[in-house]
Amino acid sequence: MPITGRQPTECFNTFRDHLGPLLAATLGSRHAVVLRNDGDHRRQLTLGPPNALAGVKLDSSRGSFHFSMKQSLEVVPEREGSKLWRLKTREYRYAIYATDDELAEALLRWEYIAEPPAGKTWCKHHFQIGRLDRKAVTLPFNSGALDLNRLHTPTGFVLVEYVLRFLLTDMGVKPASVDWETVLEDSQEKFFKEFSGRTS
Amino acid sequence: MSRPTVQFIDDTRTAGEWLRAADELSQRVIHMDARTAYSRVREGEYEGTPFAAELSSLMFLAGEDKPLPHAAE
Repeated sequence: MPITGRQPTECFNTFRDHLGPLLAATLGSRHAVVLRNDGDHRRQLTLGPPNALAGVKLDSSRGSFHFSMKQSLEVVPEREGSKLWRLKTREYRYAIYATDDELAEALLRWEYIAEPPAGKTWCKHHFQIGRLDRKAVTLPFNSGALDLNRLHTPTGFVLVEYVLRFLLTDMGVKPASVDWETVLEDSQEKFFKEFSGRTS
Repeated sequence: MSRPTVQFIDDTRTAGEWLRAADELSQRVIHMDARTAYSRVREGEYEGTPFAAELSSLMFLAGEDKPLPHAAE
């Protein structure tokens, strides 16, 4: 069951109220989320200050890095003639950068694009590894090499909860609360029970 | 008991204003207008960069994210 509401704002507020405590419990309350909107049916959530294109700087056991979270959302009528509105994710993008260089590629990124550009046939939900110093990271493969930057590895729908867990467990970011695991599990459960028709 | 949350900063603009923001961004970073820059981004240029992500976000808010016509082979 997706997020619905009698007004578009109700849908966006439900999502905002779900996301806020989750971010506070994992990354901390100091990072703001900018809610950009067209005053109508579209919202774009971005973690970090308005002009920080690479997102927020995080400290970790691996050193500092930048993390960007963007979600593009819109509301549509639940069905034709319905008075209910339904929240849809148009795009999400979670990216890890070594620096805040605006033209540097993300080292790691998870993306979902509901409508890929014409001619692009890769999986809508995918994971990619970026180039380092403009050089591709490659894997030896048969007599050649796989350019990991060009592979759109399929992922399925990646919840923000999964990426936050990755930041805390694999990237070594110190959790902002002692009960972060409970918060993540509860948030995931709520997503599958109340916000999504998916089961995993 | 409610949990701590983060600050949410509202930024409401018209579609035209978002397009203007996209133009300013594109001119500042790669010295071209937003629509030209966006067409290149959608072809894969600047893929994975914060600039490409931000431009895509602004063009989404401007309502300029409709699928492109199929490019000629």
